[in-house]
Amino acid sequence: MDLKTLTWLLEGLLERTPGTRHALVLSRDGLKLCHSPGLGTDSADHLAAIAAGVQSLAHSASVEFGDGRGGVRQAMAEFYGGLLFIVEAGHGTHLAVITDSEAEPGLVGHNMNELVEQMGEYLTTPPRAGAETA
Amino acid sequence: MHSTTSEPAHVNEPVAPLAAGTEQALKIAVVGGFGVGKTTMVRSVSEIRPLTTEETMSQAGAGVDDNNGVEGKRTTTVAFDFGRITLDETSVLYLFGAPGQERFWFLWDRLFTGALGAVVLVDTRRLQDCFYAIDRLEAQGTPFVVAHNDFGETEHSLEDVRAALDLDPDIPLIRCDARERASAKKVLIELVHHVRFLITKGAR
Repeated sequence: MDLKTLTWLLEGLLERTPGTRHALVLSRDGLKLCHSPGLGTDSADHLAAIAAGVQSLAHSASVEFGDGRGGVRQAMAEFYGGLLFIVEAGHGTHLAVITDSEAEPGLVGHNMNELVEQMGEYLTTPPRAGAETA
Repeated sequence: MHSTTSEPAHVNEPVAPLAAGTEQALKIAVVGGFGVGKTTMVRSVSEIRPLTTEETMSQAGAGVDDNNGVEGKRTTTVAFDFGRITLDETSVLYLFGAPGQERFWFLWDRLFTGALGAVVLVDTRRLQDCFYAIDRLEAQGTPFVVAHNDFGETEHSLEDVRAALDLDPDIPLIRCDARERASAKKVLIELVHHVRFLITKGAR
C-alpha cells in the first residue's frame, strides 16, 4: 500500500472540505492504517478503535432495522465541539473524519464518498495471513 | 458486506419472549484477555439472537494482537457482545461481553456501569492476559468469579491456577467450556451465588 499517496489524498480531503480537522483510514478490526499529519499517533490509535466499534454497532443496527441489503452507508456522531463521520472505504477498511461543529454534514459526507472512490484499490486490508477464510 | 457478525445457527432459533413478570434486570459483564472465549460464552448462553460486533482480524493487527496459542482465531470483538438469559419468572440477566485488546479498554467503563458482577475468563496458556481485568475489578470493587475456559489442556489444577493468579480464597474459581450452554450457565449461576454471598456477608 502506498502510504504517501493515501496520506496525500486525506490531506486533499481536508483542504477542500471546510471545517474538517482530521482524517483517518482504519482497518475494520480497529487499527489505524494512515491518517492526516495533524492527528497525533495516540489520538489516531484511539480514533481507529472508536470508529471500528461505532461502525460495527451501526452494522448491527442495519441488520436489525435495515431493509436487508446490509452494510452501513455512514455513521455519524455529533458532540460539543465537533462531529465524527465514518464511511466504509473498500474491503476491510473505514474512513473516519473529525470536523469542528461548523462543518456542513452533507458536504463532508459527499466528499468522503468521493474520496473512497478515488482511493479504490489502495484501501484493501487483507485478512490476517495464515487465517482460514470463511 | 460483513460476513462474520451473525451466527446463522441463531437466526432460526425461536426468540424467547421476555416474561411479563420480569422485575429484576441484572447486568453481568464478561471480561478477560484477547481470544479467551468471551464472545463464545455470550453466544452459547444467550436465549435471544446475540448482538456480536466481531470483525475479521486484519493484517494490520499482526504484531499488535497476539494470537499465540489461538492461531485459528479469525475474528475479534470491536465493541461488545450482548445476550440475555432468563433466570426465573422475575429475574433476567443481561450479558455484556467486553473486547479483549488494550485499544478497546476505554469501553470497559461503560460496560461496567450498573453491573451486578463480572465473569473473568482465563486461558491457562496465556494467564497474564487476564491480570488487567482482575486488577481493575478488584480496584473498583465489582464482585466477580473467575472461570478457566478449558481448551483441553487440563494439566493445571484449579489450585495451580488460583496460585498463579494470586486469587483471594473468597473468589470462586471454576472450570468451564464456554462453547457449552450448560457449562457457561453454571458460571453465571456461580456468580449470582457469589454476589448473594457477598450481600449476606455485608449484612451481617
